Amino acid sequence: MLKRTLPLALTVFVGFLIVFEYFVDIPALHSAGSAITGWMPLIQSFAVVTGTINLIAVHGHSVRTKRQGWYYSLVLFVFLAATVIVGLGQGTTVPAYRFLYDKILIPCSSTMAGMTAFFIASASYRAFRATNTDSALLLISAGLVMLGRVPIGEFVSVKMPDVAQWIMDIPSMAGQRVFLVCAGIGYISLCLRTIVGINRTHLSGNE
Amino acid sequence: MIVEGLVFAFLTMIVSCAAILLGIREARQGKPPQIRTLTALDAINEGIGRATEMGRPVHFSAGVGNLTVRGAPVMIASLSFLSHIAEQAARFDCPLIATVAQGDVYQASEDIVRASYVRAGKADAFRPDAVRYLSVNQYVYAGGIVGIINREKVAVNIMIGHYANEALFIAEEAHSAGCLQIAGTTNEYQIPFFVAACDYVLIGEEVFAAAAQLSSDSAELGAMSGQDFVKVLSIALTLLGAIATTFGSDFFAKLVRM
Repeated sequence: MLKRTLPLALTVFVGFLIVFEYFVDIPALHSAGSAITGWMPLIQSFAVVTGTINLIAVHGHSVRTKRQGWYYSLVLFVFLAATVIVGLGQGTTVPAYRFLYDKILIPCSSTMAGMTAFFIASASYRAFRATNTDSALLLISAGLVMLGRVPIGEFVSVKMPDVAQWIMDIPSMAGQRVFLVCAGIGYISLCLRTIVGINRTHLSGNE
Repeated sequence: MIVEGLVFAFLTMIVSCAAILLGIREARQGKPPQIRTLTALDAINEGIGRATEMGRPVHFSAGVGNLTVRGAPVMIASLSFLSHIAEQAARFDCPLIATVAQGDVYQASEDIVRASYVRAGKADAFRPDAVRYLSVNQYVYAGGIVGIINREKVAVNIMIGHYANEALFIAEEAHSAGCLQIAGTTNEYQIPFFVAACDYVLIGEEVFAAAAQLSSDSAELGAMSGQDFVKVLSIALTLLGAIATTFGSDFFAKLVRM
């Protein structure tokens, strides 16, 4: 019962409560909804702890067995320990913690974000080969949009920016809206199946 | 009683839910709808077979979403894929590596993979490091995956879930490593990247349709016919709204803001 019935009952209760709390104007429902959504970060925090235990176990095994690239696991342990010790011991506003965050994590993340531009170029090169009608249409429309978005486009034709904007505003926007409406209907369907207990994937560990 | 401005949305939700529940009831009464086979689904099974022959692992990533905010439905659908992939991998004795970015997804994923190995009769083959928590930071997560793909010589990379800017980074690196790639997401901004970089892509709602097909539960399939009815209704409302607005009527504009 604790493994199956209780989680299902909780799913039904919380699911319907949150949905109706959004649509119905009853203060008691809003308070209950706010309380439940307020628990989410708490649950997430506990889940991060279990995730970190898994991280330590996997990388500990990697170091012990000297698997390929095991020294990267050591680097992870050093920075994990430093972040936890400084963060828990002195708080997250001290210079040492800010150094770890602002001078290491942020620059590394920005570097990876910047590299996306090169990956876009290589992926586009493969996608823009006109091997059939669909890819030819993609190539032509992408070429027109790119030309319309760079200064040289206006030298080719003054109408080029307008053509690019038309492609983005009309055919592209129509496609995106169809995509969003269909995905939205899929969202409703899956949420409904989960709330009423038809979809139990998230509980399959208890089967 | 209903919040002002949400009356139409509330009614639409009620009609949608009723249509989906009717579809489920019909399917349970022995009339499941016919759903076209998605090539990406066949590719998943072929990919696991290929990885088994090569003696290399299959990698599954659920993306950076979690089970509580926007993107939660696609994460739940993603867990259905993980369940199927883990069971197939266990049957074929193919190594599986599932990477996750969120604590709650890690909990659910580990339970699901363990249960899949039990269902396949290979409970002893389950390794605790089959599911690996990497980081909530999207770029750290992507970097971790790229390291795993290259170091552990992954043969098949399956990315189904909620993705953001890290999607292309992972997909392009996996392409460079020679992986067969199957991807799917409902984030419209990442679909073009997946289409450009991956071999098979589940676009938007196809993720949910494929998840329903994998479950082979008649109720799950029945929900698809209900969804199709709602789609027809949406198209009809859009067309009527466009025609009415063109002829100067603001009836539909007022209706949706009700």
